[in-house]
Amino acid sequence: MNIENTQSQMRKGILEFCILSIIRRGEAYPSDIVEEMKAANLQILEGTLYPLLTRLKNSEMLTYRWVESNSGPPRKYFSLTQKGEAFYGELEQTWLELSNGVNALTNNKEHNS
Amino acid sequence: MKKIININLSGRVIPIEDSAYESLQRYIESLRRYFANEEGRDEIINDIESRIAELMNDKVRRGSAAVTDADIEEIIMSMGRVEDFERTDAEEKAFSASGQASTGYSQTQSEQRKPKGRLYRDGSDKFLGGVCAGIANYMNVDPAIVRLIFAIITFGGFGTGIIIYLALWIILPVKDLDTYVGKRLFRNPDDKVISGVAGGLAAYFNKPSWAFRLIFAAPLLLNILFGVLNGIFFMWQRDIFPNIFIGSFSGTFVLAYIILWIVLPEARSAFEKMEMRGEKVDVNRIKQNVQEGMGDFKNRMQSWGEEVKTSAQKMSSRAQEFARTQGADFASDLKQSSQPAGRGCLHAIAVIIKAFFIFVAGCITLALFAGLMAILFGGIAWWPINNFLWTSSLQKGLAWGTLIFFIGVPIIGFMTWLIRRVVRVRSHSRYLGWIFGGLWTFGWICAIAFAISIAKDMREYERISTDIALQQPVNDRLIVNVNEPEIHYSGGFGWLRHDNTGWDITDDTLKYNNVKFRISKSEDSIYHATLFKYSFGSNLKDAQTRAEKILFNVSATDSVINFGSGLSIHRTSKFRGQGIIMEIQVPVGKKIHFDESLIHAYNPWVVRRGGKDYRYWNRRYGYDNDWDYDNYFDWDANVDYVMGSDGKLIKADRVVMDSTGVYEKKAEKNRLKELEEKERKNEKERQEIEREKERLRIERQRTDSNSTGYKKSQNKESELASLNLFTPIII
Repeated sequence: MNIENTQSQMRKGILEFCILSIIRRGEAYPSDIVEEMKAANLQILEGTLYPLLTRLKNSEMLTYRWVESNSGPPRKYFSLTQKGEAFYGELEQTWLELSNGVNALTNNKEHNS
Repeated sequence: MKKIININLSGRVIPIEDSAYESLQRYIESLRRYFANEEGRDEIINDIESRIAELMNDKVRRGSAAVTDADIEEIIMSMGRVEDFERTDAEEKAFSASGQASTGYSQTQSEQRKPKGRLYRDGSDKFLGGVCAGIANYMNVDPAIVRLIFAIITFGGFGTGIIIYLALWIILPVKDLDTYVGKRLFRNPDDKVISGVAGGLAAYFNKPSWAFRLIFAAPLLLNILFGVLNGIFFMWQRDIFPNIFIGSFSGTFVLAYIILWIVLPEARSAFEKMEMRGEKVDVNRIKQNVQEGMGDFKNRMQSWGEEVKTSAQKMSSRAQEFARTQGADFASDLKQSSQPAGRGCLHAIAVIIKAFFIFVAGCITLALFAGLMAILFGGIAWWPINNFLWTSSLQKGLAWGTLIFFIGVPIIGFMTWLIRRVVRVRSHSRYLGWIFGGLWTFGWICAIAFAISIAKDMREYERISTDIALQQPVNDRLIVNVNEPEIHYSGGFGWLRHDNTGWDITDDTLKYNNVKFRISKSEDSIYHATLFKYSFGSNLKDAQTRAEKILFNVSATDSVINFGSGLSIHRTSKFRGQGIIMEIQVPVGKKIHFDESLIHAYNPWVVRRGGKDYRYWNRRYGYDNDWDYDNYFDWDANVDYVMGSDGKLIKADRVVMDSTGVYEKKAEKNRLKELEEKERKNEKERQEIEREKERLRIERQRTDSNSTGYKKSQNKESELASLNLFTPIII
């Protein structure tokens, strides 16, 4: 078990949560999502983002609409559905529990040591 | 210097360097492969393509003349390479596997892999019924491989493959499945000697290419080797090795190579080369999939058992309900349930009929193919026949055109089509169809022209007659004999020598035994013999010349008339249905004897009796009616026949003949004599009885008048009765 592996697993687990939270704030274009993630220091490849979005869309978490752009053909903008909203809510719940738990544990550890 | 091309990607026209375009193409193709099993594959690819187009467009707008290699590299880096996806995937799998081990949570794994469906027949990619494609889809291998395996099972297992196939065809439901994406058979341009067929096969099966080269070339090389060896060491004895076997073998391989050459596309792009090699060896994948399948099997059986149980419960509850309602809607229920069954039955019948037709078509093709092979390779033995068949070089050309284009092209075309279907070759097939169609049309023209040409050559029939001078046999017995050895094939092909009597062919001469005999009644008291030579030709003169050129030996010595064992035709006069009819006229009451050599040299049925209409023959239709109207004659060799006054030949030792030729059969005569003898004897007996009766009557009258003893007369009475009882039987 190497460190990289674990790190990427940790990142991967929260990927969907992060993407959903970005989209939740308003209609989003995939490359904007990547930019935002990068800005928050969360690395993601665009190539992995597209399949993820498609999967979420197919399981009716997301929907999209075509928006005219001034430079060429229309682009796909994604937004959350009702179901996605609920899904996000559950993920958020889990995340809060997790982060609280992890924080408590790690802080506790630091106290002990 | 770099070439710049304009491409249209997701609705944007983008100038791009040639090499950059190629690497872009490679990248998209690798993505396509990577997402092959993903549900929304096309959508994902489209999204990525349009994003790439957008990025490239940005570059162009910012001032660069065209998208360069470096730009593409940058874009690909930001999108991520397949290898990067794979790494994260692999980690994920490792993670979920360890997670599974500790928690027993098994759902993740099945989400990662392409879900294993049921076994279907593939409706979208079918050759016969789509069974093989369905199995291939289930196991995720190239359908061509499954088809090949099925073919091997069918040929090796005495047709069991067909039965399995039929069963699966009937049982499995049909469904449109995704086409196979993965390893395919190509010609390999990087590893080629002639066209890269062997290289492609090698890349496909992951074996060294020299092995495949050897398979194709070995029979040919052996053929040459043995030819040379025969030439050097075995001059005195031809055909030391079954040359023809290897010959046809190498021919088959050469043909197979050519067909594969036509059928297989060349792996041009990097993607196709990747497809050709495949990432994994298919056999391993099969193994892996089978193992996984077996692991699944237990679970499947359990769930299947569950299913059976619940459906059985359902059935029983339904039955109860049915019993309650007392079959009120029995009829409709029955109808409903019988409908699918009926449909299944019809389906099965349709399948069997279809399979039968395909089987017949296959047989015909195989026969055609065998025929072509026989013509091509066995025909070498018949090679000299070229010298005898064609009256003009045009005709010869037409004959070859017919053979190659009219017969050969459809066979090769069908084989090509068959293999293309098995291997699932895509694209550039239109030209091939046009080429084959064009060649076959040409073949039709050749065949028709050839038929007309031959028909022209056979339009007229003519015969010439020669009287043979005979010495009249002293003892009134003419012996018909063949004094030449029987004709045997004498050419260089030993395997043809056996059982090939009656014809022979060399470069100069064609010999065959088309000789017939007609025996008829002589009008006078001496034997006559007339030799008729006949032939067909384009006109009477032509036919006559041909007939005159026939060589046939006849010689009469003493009471024996000797014939050659066949007629010879020289190459300059060509073969146009030449033949010989030998007419022998036998005077009434004289004998003729056929020697055994006749049967050996010709056939038993070559001797016939001249019919009434034998002189009738028809120039207009060109038939040799003078033979066809003769009477069949069931003759024996080495027996004397005698000519009767009615023109019939009878075995001499069985008849009694008077001087005018009216004859009786000996057996009949004897029988008649016997019967007459018997009649005479009976007559005598009858008279005796009459006399006895007369005597008794007289005696009784005498006793009545004398009135002497009653008893005595009674005795006499009974005696008389018994005699009366016998009389009708004797008479």
